[in-house]
Amino acid sequence: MMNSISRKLLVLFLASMLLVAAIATSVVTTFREQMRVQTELRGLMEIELSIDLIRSQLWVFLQYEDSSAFTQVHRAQKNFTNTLGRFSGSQKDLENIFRMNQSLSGLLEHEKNVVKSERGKVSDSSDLSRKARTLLHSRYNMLVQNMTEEIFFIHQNLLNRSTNVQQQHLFSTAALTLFIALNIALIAWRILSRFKADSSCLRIGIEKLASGNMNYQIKTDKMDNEFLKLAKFFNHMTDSLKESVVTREELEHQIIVKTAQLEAQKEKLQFLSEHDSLTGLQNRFAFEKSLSSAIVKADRSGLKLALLFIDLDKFKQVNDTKGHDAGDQVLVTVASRLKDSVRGSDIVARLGGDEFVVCLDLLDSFNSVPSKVENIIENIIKPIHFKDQSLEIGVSIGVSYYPLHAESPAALINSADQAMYRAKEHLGSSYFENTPHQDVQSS
Amino acid sequence: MVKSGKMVIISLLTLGGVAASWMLYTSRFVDPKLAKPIIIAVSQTPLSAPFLVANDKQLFQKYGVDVVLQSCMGGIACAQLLFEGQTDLATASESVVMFESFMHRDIRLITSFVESDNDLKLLALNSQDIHEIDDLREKRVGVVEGSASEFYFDSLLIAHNASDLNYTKIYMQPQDLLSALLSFKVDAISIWEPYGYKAMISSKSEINNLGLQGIYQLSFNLISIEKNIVQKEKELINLLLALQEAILWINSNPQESQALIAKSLDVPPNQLKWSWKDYLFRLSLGNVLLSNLQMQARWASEKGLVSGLTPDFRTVFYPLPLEQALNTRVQVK
Repeated sequence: MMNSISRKLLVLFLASMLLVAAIATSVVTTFREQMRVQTELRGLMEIELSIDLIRSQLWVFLQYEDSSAFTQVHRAQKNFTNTLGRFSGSQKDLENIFRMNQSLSGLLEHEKNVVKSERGKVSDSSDLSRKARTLLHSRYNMLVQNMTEEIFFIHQNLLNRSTNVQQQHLFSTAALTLFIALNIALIAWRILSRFKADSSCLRIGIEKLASGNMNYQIKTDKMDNEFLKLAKFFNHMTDSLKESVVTREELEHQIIVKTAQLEAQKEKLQFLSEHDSLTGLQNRFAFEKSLSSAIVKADRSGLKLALLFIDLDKFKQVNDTKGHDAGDQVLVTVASRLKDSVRGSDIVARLGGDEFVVCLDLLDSFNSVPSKVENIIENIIKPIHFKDQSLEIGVSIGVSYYPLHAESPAALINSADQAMYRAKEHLGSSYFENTPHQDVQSS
Repeated sequence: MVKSGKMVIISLLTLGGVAASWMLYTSRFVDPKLAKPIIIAVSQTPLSAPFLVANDKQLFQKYGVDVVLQSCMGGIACAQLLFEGQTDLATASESVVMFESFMHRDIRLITSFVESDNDLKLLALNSQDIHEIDDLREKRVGVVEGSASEFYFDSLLIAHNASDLNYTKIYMQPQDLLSALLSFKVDAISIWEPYGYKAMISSKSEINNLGLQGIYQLSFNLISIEKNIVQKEKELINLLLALQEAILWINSNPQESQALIAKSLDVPPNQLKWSWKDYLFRLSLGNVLLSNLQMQARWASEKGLVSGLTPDFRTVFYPLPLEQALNTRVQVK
């Protein structure tokens, strides 16, 4: 019903105004009641004073029993009638006083008449008239006394009524005020609790978002309208954020994929730049690099290495007579056989055409090299099968040693190259090592 | 939600507390220990209105007194029931109190609850050409012997300086006076209400009232005997509080009161209306009543209606309960 803080505050404001109105009304009513009672009391006091005047005149009259005193009583009674006249109609409580005054007036009038008629009578009737006077005077006293009692009664009634009215008024005002105040307290408490709950919901939402949780949604049921708008806006905002953040992830993923592709391409390019595309062996460029690092390694470890410069014999012939495919087959097979003939750590490369190099590194001595070279020659010269044909090739190998023959890679290669030419000079497959024997070995 | 429940409980407790204290406040007079009922002989006249109203409005219960009203016709009969021990209290006029106090020294006057200075009338038929007291010379006047009727007539004679008037006083029963007047057996009658009203409606001729308003004041009183009221002050106070509230109600609701009394006494509403304005309902026990009793006692002695010493009426008064009751504020709903 009141799902809005501003509405609740409005109700709170209205209730407070009602409370103010109730208190103001109560004050005004109490004031009016007091004024009314005061006016009535003042009236009663005036009447009491008039009655007192009659009483005092009556006392004088009973003391002296002369006509002047009687006149004073009569005057006091007339004065009382005038006083009462001012209150006629305004206070119905005074009806009995009016009536008593009427009786008193009638009796006084009666005495006046009796005294008048008495003047013409004989003196023996004076005893009778004294009796009449005594009776009348007793009645005057009784009437005045009665008036006093009646005024007291009215007075007491007035005070009782006023007290009752004020008490009832007090009770009803207290009950009303309590009721309104209780409602105000309830509404205020409700505003407070809802405000606390709603603001805490929002705060939690913002904290979650700040910590990166984009899936958190603020629950909007039972929320006040003001917070409801904010919460909906917040939820909408997190939704939008979540969408934009997902796109970035995807973007990152694509970048990773592309980078991987590029890396692969780069690796491929690097491989291509360093390897012979036909045999898969290192090319000259890569071999020179590898050789350099092998030399550095050998220097550091104090070990030795041997470089084999290999040139195929009769290759051109095969190429020319059997075709390029046969030539390629020869090159691929030789490469494969070379690789199979050496250790994994040894370097095998194709320098171009039918020229290969092998670097045997990490050697303690050169003693094992000749047998190794012979083993290589043996492997290479085995017939190569190509399309049901058996191709025959030979090989010339020049061997140079590091650090025996050269100190730089280029020089080492050059030395081996020269050794290879020396071996070429020899018919058939053979090798030549610069040192220690300086002899061409044929196999 | 729990908090809200707590608030509701606190609110309910507060309201409950207010209601409980209010109920406690309003019921502070109620005494749950009811003694055996107080039986009151109540004269079936409009003067007994405070008793009839208190009974009808259950005010005796409200103030915690168990009261049973017993009907009786006239103050003399009611006083009789009291002295016979059939009732604890009775209602009677001050004339009855005066006469009975000569015979029963233990009679006690608790309060006067109504007075009227116009209840007694000296009535004569206009057709008989009687307009004032002096016109009664050599006439017959019907009065009820030894009653307010005779006292009133004698007072009128004294006030008119006409005690030596030559007339014939004829004693009759109150119910016979009116027919005697209308059948010219007597020329005037001194009689109380409701006969004045009955005379007015049943006479073809105009009725003259030769009376003098204010010369006599009738009062109706609650009386008892000493042994009935000793150590019953609390009950009497509560009884008086109930009467006081009834009187306040009567004064603020004259129309409803008349309707209630007319129904209760089975009298025509007009008859009640006729004399209602003359009644002054008020609880009192003052010098006016004392003077009245003394005046009537002197008259009764002079007339030889009573024998023995005139009692000290101050001892007849039993003012304590009334003083207490008048000091207690009564709330009329």
